Amino acid sequence: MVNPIISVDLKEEGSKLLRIDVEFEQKGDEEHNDGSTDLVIKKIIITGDFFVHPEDLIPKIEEELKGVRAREEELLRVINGVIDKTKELEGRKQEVKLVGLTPEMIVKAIMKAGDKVK
Amino acid sequence: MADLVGEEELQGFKDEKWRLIITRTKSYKEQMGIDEANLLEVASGRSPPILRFCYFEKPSVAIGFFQSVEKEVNLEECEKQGIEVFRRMTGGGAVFKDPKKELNYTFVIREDDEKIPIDILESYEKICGAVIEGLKELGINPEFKPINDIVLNGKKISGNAQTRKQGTILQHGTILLDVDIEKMFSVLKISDEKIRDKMIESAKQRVTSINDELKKMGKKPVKLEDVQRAVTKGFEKVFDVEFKLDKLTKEEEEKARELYELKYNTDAWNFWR
Repeated sequence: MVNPIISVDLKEEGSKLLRIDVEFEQKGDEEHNDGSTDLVIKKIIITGDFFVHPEDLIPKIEEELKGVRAREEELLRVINGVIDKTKELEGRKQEVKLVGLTPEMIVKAIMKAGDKVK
Repeated sequence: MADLVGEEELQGFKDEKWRLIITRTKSYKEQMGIDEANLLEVASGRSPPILRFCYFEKPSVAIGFFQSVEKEVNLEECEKQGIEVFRRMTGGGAVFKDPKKELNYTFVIREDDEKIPIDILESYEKICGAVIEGLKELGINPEFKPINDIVLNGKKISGNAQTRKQGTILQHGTILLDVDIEKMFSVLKISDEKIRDKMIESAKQRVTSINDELKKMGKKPVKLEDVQRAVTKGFEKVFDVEFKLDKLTKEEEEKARELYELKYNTDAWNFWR
């Protein structure tokens, strides 16, 4: 079965518009008591009219989110991990700034997309 | 004596005039290559800060670095109207660019220059402040609206976007002399066609132009060159510098052409997402 691409737009008070396209796959090896399985991100594209410095942070986040389960705390940990790593890139500190976008918004959009699958 | 020589040298560097450059190209997309070539030149320390005014002929749609072309732009309509679509190196939203109705500028300065705040939001405010100071010369009183807008009577007249690479800040922006909201919406995608009229109406409430506002005040309209002159003065005042009219160096021209051919004019860049 081909997994559908789920699109979610999210705009919060004072934020820019976040638009994600995400493709999930079911992770079959961990079955819950009710028989359900976890959704895992297969591919995600994060777009919108926000600003991110440095810009390559977004492709890095997209890459690191592959294979991550659609669970709020896990998603947030991965995204913040990429941000922390970028801050210390090549042994020198660099400013990382997200304008009109937050890691929490990306998580919220992914969770909304996950709800559309279930 | 040795100390005095040192001070004089330092003084000479401090008093260096900044570069004012005017570039004219057929398409605005070519100006993207020039933007990056200017950034690299300033980053290398070979050039003082640059203020550039960019003139172009082809109407176009510029999308923000992180935007999806297909989600934001009506490509079919653009093709029909002969409108070029391209991606900027800066974030922000999609805009329709009309060469006759707006003045576009690019400002490049190193992050370690004492005249610019290191904080991104503060630097937006300072650079937009220079634009505002200049526009006041035209008899209007615009204001900075965080994060990156300039508003007049509460409505947007200028959008600005920034990137930082190699320790250097590049901010480019557009200043609307006139605006055609209907035309803008004909080439941008709207999530729900049923609310197109409502969206156009709402945009008219949020966006205006210098000449629309001057007209309301019973004043004469201004031309692109009037705004260019005024904005240059604003930068001189706010940054306490003088500009010298300059041209792109041979290296900048070559680099700009190379960047245009290998990056800004490719589908790999423009349809990246």
